[in-house]
Amino acid sequence: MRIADLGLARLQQSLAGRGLYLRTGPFTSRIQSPIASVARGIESLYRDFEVADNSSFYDFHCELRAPRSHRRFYRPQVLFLSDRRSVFKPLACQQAYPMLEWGLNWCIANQVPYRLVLHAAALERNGKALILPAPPGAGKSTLCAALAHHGWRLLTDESVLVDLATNEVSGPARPVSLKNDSIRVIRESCPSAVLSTPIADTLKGAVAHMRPPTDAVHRSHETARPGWIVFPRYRPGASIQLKPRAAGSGFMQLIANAFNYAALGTRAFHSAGRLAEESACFDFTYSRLDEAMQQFDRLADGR
Amino acid sequence: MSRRRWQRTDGLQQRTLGQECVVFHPGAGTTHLLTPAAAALMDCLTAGVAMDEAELARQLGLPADGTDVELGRWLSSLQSADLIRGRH
Amino acid sequence: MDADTALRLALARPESMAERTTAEWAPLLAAARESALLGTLWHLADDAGLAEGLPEPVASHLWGAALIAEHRSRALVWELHGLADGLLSRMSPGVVLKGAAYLAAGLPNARGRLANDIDLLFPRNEVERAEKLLFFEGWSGTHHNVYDQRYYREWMHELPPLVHQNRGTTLDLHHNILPETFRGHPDPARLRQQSQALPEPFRFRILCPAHLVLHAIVHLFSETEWDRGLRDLYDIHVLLRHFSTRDGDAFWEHFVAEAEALNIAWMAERALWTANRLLLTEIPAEPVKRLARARAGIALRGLGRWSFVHGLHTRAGSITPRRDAVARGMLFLRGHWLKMPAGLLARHLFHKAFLAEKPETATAQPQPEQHG
Repeated sequence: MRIADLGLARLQQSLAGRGLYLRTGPFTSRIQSPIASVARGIESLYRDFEVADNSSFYDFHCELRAPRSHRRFYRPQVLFLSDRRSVFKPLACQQAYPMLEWGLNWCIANQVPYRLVLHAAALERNGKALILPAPPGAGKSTLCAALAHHGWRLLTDESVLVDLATNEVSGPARPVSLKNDSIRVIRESCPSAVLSTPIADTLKGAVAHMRPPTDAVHRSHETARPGWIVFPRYRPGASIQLKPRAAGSGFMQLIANAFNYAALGTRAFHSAGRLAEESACFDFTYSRLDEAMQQFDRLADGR
Repeated sequence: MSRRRWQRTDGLQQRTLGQECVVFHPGAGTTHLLTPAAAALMDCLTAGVAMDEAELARQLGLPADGTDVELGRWLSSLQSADLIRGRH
Repeated sequence: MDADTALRLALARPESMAERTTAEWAPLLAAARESALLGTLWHLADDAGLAEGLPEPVASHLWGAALIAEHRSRALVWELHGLADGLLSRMSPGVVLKGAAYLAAGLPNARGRLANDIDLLFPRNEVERAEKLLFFEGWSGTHHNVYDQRYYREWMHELPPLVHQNRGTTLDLHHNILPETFRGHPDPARLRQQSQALPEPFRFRILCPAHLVLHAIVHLFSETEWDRGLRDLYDIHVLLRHFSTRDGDAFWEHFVAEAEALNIAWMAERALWTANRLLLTEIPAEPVKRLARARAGIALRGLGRWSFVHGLHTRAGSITPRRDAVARGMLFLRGHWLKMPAGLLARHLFHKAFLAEKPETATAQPQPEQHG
């Protein structure tokens, strides 16, 4: 059964009761929340995702609810709980949905010790993975959202999973987070993209999420071989430039963007090393999204 | 030239990536990108065998005079990263 | 079966893991994660020949946690070697305590255990010299305000924790196993005199078996926070089983005698009861009988036992969260009450509540936006 088959009423019922068991790629998350905006967000953005039954195994247990304090009456807030413990500072209640997305990202970053988890976006074409690690503001998510509507299969916008033994690359194929101006850019350049209503005034400004393309969701169990590691940088007015980067410094940049490299030690070192070896590394500067798409087409075709 | 004998730290993990070399120190949890010179120096040091500086210079093909300053610099930077150890 | 019961059963009888259903595994893993016991469960399952038969995602989570524990252990052993070869070699060898000691001595509870920091015991009049020497190797203090300094140096059994500037490892220098102000004060010279040399190449010492277990007991049963309590109880369980299997009655004889000599027989009595009750630890009748003299009166005994049982529930897996919260509150007060005389305690709690800077409460929880 998929979210679309469930309908909003039953979805709300699950969330408010024993929890919705949501499958995202290799993970199952048990999500509980009485908050209406959370149910609406899931209904719209996870439409194509599978729902597991209540006796299934789940990797993460998340709950979004108001804190148990008097504040709920005059300035309602929301907490994100993982395994019944609050892991973040509370946010204003209207940010409940983005908080679910951030919380699920936190779970993957902190509770998946059996994969190397990279803070990066990833997409697949012809069985090969394109990994885009970048600090916030580098335009990683914008590129990722656009590529997902331009012949690339979305693996993840935020957390790349690398198998420690085989180096197969995968991701949960969850919604892509877009901020401020990139919301407009994606609306204009990808007419088929479905975006949630932007939520203003978060710490990051306005935030919206993009529904992953149906095909990417249906194929989210398919892994990819390492292909390219591209470090993107968005610079207004800059002309497009794709420059090969030495594997050693690419490797160092890659591990700086890994969530659990330090915790895993030797295994993570060799896993990241093989990943850098098997991939072609580049630095990429861009300002126009259409030019960037053409550049990635050429990269995929080996031109 | 100093008479210290140098030895590579036990248990280091090393990979060659293209022209470059990366080393992981499992004890300290640190990762280093080595310059070609430092990588060549590390290659001279076999695990468990100490080597003196004159022998190192010879193996690296450095002339015996006037290069100890540079060799000393490489050795001290590798030592401060705990990748090698020097003993008198 | 509820998750806490399933977790305790897995620790006590690893073969019980074969009976867990898929629906039972997820909350069991959450409870084990909270107690830092995931890596331990992996080794228990593996030793029992169950690893192959575990559901695939369960095996992945357990195996991954064991990888992290393995890396952490290796780093800790390396750190210990560095300490032994460094400036501390100018002093008579210190005694390694707790996690690092289990690791260095290769005790069975060390595998899969997430050892956090290094604890070293020195004589009181040498501990500050060790601190000074370590400063030159990059270890420096974290607690800089006057009150915290005084709290540690005058009242506690350890100096303010040291942290390595480059690597972030924490090192605690102890001169006893209980605070100076604790009710019933053990004689640390006794601990050092009976300590044993660690196998080469470590230059440190380790407590004798009886003291090793008693320290694990003291560590848990004098605590104010019981958050990782189940892990500590599991240490006690494994150490008791290991030494009693190896040394038989001689171990128990020494254990009871030392508990009495160190004035901690009453804590040992509570610990043996709790380990037997929750982890089915086998304890012969003789030590129980001899320690019975140290029991609390009947009313307090029941209340104490109730709070130990509930305090050892996890937040993730418990089916009695409200009662657990009450028990945690009682254990918090109990821990403080044991630690300090009433006047000092009032002063300390007043300071913590009203005067101390509160960096933990303000910054411990990250901003969610960092993850998106």
